[in-house]
Amino acid sequence: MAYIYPAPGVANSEITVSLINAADATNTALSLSGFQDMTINAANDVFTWEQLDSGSKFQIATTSTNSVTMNIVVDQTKFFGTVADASQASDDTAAELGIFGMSKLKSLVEFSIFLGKTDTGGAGKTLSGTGYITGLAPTVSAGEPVWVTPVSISVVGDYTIT
Amino acid sequence: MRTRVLDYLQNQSLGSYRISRELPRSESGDSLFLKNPKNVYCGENQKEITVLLRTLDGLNISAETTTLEVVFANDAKNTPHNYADLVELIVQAKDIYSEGGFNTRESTVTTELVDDLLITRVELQYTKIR
Repeated sequence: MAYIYPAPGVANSEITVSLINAADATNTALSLSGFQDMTINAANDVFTWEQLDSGSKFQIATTSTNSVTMNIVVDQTKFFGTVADASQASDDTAAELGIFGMSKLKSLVEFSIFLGKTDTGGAGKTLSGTGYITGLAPTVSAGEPVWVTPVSISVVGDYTIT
Repeated sequence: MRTRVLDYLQNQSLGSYRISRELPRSESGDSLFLKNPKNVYCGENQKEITVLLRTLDGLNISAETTTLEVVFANDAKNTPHNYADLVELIVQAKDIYSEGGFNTRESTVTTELVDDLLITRVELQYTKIR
């Protein structure tokens, strides 16, 4: 067995997510942090038809809608970027734009997610691809006065597993 | 925090009640508030830190709750005329830290009878992000 056990706070074992603005020629990555949860979606569409010679329907998988969703604690620098909003350009680095800037500018991002090591200490898998950041909805409440936000990456095309 | 609550209470008009800055310790087997009715005592700060938000990369955001107990006794048969006013003043002490980042401020009043004394305990709780 090789169950995936990401160890929170343990370097090279915990989940990591990095984003690169595809338009950034320097390919500088922004490492996200403060993940509360993460979901990797790979939802195949299914085409269904019926035949007169069968009492059951037939189905075939067609294309998949892929997306990554997570909830994170908002880090001001990583969320809003290191460059002031008015000065942000579409080819800035992911760190300069921040999550919010890349969402606002509709930047195509290259994401890379390390899932964590296995229970036996084996090497972990990295899932990567490209997509667009959507679904930002920072929220805070009196009971939990810490800003948290959902982040979705709508994946363009296939995932790559390495 | 205990000092601030005691200072707040000492600045109030308490009638025949008095504020003691001693801890409500026991002396010769009896708590001071039983030996000295109408003296208001405040216990030491009690702190509890609980996890508010956990994350997959080790970040923990905690809530720190400081609890104080204010306790006093008075005659159960002839309750001083300003008993209710004193209890209300102590309850209002939950708000003396409104500027301190405390997102939750609570107080709970409980009473019990011991012989001919009415024991009143007011628990004050202040919670903030740590």
